[in-house]
Amino acid sequence: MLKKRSFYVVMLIIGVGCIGTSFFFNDTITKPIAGSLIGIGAGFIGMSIVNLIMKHMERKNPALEKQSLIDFNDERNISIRNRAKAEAGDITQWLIMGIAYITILISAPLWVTLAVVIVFLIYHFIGLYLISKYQKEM
Amino acid sequence: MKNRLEEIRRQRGIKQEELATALEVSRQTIGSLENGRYNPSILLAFKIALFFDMTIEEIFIYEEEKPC
Repeated sequence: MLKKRSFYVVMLIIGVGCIGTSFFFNDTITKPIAGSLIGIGAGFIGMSIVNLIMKHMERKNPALEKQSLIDFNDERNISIRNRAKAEAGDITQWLIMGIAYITILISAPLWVTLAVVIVFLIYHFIGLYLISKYQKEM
Repeated sequence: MKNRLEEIRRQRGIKQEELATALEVSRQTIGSLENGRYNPSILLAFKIALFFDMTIEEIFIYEEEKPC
């Protein structure tokens, strides 16, 4: 989705905030939290910087901005994006089931297997909910 | 579904880029429409027909799929 410049500035600040906060979690127990925060922060910062550069280039070149908007709203591109997302989702559901079987094979704790199966079930329930929603809408 | 988009566009001396800009779609969409790889939505079909001041049926030719 095309976002405004301010959205990426906020994301950048959140990213820096996440990395800053990670320094407060420096003992052995909370180290995984620090690692997660650094990961999330780095992701947010990277994404924000790339998008801010894109926005800056578009602002300098209005023709580029217009073309980017046309490409984003183009019905064929929307159709391609939605189809790709749907197929990727379909593949992901089987990967999730594959992970569930791997967790059984490697004798992982039961909660890990259950968590993966719950994710698989959530995927299906969201799918059913969306089918019902769109059937009412269309 | 077949269409006469390329033929009509060439007759009018319009470039793909110009048609794409006028219809607010990408140039690739015009190319795909002309090659018959992509069928437009009814809204885009109307936009195309309005642009050329023609009816949808004059541009797009519906063909029933033959059973296998």
